[in-house]
Amino acid sequence: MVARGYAVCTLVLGLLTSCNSAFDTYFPQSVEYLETQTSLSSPLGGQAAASVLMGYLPATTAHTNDILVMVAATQDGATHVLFFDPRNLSLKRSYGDTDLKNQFGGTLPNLNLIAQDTYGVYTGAAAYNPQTLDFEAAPSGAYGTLFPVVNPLATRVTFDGNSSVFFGSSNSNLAYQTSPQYVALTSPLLPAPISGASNTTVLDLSYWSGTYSLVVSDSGSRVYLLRSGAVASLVPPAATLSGSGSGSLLGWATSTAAVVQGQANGNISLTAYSWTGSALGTLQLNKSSQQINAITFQPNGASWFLFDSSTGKLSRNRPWW
Amino acid sequence: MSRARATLLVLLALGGSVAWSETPAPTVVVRAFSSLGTEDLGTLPQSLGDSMNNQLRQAGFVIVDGSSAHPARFESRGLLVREKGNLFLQVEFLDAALQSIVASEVISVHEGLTALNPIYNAMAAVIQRVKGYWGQVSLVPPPVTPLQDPVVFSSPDEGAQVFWQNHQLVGRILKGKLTAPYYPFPSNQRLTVSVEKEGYRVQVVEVPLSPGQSEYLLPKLVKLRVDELFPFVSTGKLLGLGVEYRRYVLPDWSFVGAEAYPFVQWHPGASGAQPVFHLDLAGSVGTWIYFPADSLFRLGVEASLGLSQTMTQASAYAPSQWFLDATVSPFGVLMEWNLWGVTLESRVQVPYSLGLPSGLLGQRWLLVDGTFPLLALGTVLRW
Repeated sequence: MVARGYAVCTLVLGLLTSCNSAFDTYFPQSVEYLETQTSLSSPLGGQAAASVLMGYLPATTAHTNDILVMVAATQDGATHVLFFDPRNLSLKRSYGDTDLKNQFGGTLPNLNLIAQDTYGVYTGAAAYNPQTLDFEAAPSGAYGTLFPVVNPLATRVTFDGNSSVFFGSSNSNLAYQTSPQYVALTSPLLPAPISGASNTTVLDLSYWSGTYSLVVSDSGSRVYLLRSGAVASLVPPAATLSGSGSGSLLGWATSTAAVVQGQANGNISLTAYSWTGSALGTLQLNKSSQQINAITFQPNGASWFLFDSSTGKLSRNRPWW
Repeated sequence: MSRARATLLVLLALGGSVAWSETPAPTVVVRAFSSLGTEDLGTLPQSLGDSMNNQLRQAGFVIVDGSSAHPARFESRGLLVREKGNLFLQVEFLDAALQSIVASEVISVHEGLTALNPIYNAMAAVIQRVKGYWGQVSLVPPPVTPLQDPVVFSSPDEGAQVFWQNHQLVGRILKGKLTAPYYPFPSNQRLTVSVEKEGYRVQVVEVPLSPGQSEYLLPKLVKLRVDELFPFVSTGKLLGLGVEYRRYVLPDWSFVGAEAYPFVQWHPGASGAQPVFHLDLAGSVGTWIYFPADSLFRLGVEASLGLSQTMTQASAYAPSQWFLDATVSPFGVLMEWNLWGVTLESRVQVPYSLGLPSGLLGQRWLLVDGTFPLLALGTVLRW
């Protein structure tokens, strides 16, 4: 009797919801991919995050373990730079507002680009020893003190083991440069333009196992997936997306998939695409109006990291594709 | 004289039995003639009985068997005695409603063929008197006689108290019965009786008294809603089953509750997704606002405080982890339908997560897909 009633009620409620949402809960869908999680309440001084940047730095000859870097501004106006072991999210090193100001003569430097080279690890103009993560002097002309590519917020960087590769835009066109160090060159290179694209914005650039991957959007609500073994030959794109996720301002490049952020029912949807442009799967993240999410991906696509300001938690997750 | 009445008189003159077109036909049960004395009467009592039946029919009486299904207003009785060459006959009619003799005739004749004529005349005379009597009383309701015996109530609810007449206590049901103190109620009265027992709903019933009945069955009492279970499923956690235990502090109306809902979060077709186990626990207070218990539809409200536990599976980088969130649901709407003996209930809630440091949810309203409130549907079990 009870079993029959349960079946009937489940059926009725299942019919009331759509087939897609029958298994949805009020818990974030990302919990199904959760590997480990840590609270950043203490490292952020108990303050809520106002803005967050994250970057994943794979091991190089300069450091044997991967590093997850977070640059966070909290609502009290303070800035924090945090270094984590991405395997278990243990905090390896943290710098608070006072530390950063003391290091840079009382004024916070630009900290926007998370990068590395054989010399060090960087958050914008701040340089750190890749082994100890202590402050160290940045090389002369380090990116962050100079911005030869016009739009610094739309510039992405990766390290291919030999060179720092910068991709951004100059006068609404793609522009790039390569440098043996994390140093800005005065004259960016202009690759062939993407046919039909206008006002391009670089969403993400990554390098893994001999292949550069680039995700670009344009003002025509298109997303371009570009992939090549050589930086100079990334154009033309391997695939163009004009549909789900198009028009997004955020995207990520991994060796196994490109991920594009879109909106669904007021929530964030993350759709993974193969580099030939076929959709591999979509993940929904709940988002309230005050919520700030920061997301970054391991370049080989093995995991991704999410900071959710509503919980103050940083999590490591399995891919959903 | 009207034409209709003239027609009636013609019909009467022709010997028809439609004598009282404006009054209902009287019913009568004819008892067999009884005999006294030692001398044999042969078939005479039977013959006189047949003659009585025929004369009554011709006079417009309806002869019935007098059973409870076919009650008679009149009853005819006859007594026949043969002694020393004489026949002694007594015929009388009883008004059953009044339990009184309304007509009788006594005759004594010498035996022989000449005796039958005066006997038949005597029977015809007494029947005519009953007809006359009926013509006077048929349109007047018969006076109501008082009950002769005390009322006995029977009930399956042992120990229930029975009240009547301005909530005067009659007594308690013991061994299934209660004999009320004798009171000469009119035999057609409808008694208003209240049956009460602790833990049960008060039943007020109308008991129609009947002169031929002394025992009256009272309806079985219905338990008050004191303890109940609400097994249910809810949107947002369809891969699970919840149950809420409710204890009514104001029976049938207001309750405190405790709830448990284990469920699995899992999108079966999603690559890489692993089942996550949740256990929602909640304590609640609620009350029904509109309509009494067991109404076809009821509307109520419920507020609750909850703890939501989550356990993930172990990964290569971390063991299985446990999380604890706290929620409050200040506004829950309850709806209940009582249909075909089954109680169905639905509940709509929008919990708010308090954002415990140990949790997954942060501070926010909890909506399925960020859009839909939690809609629960289930049945209610009582004992």
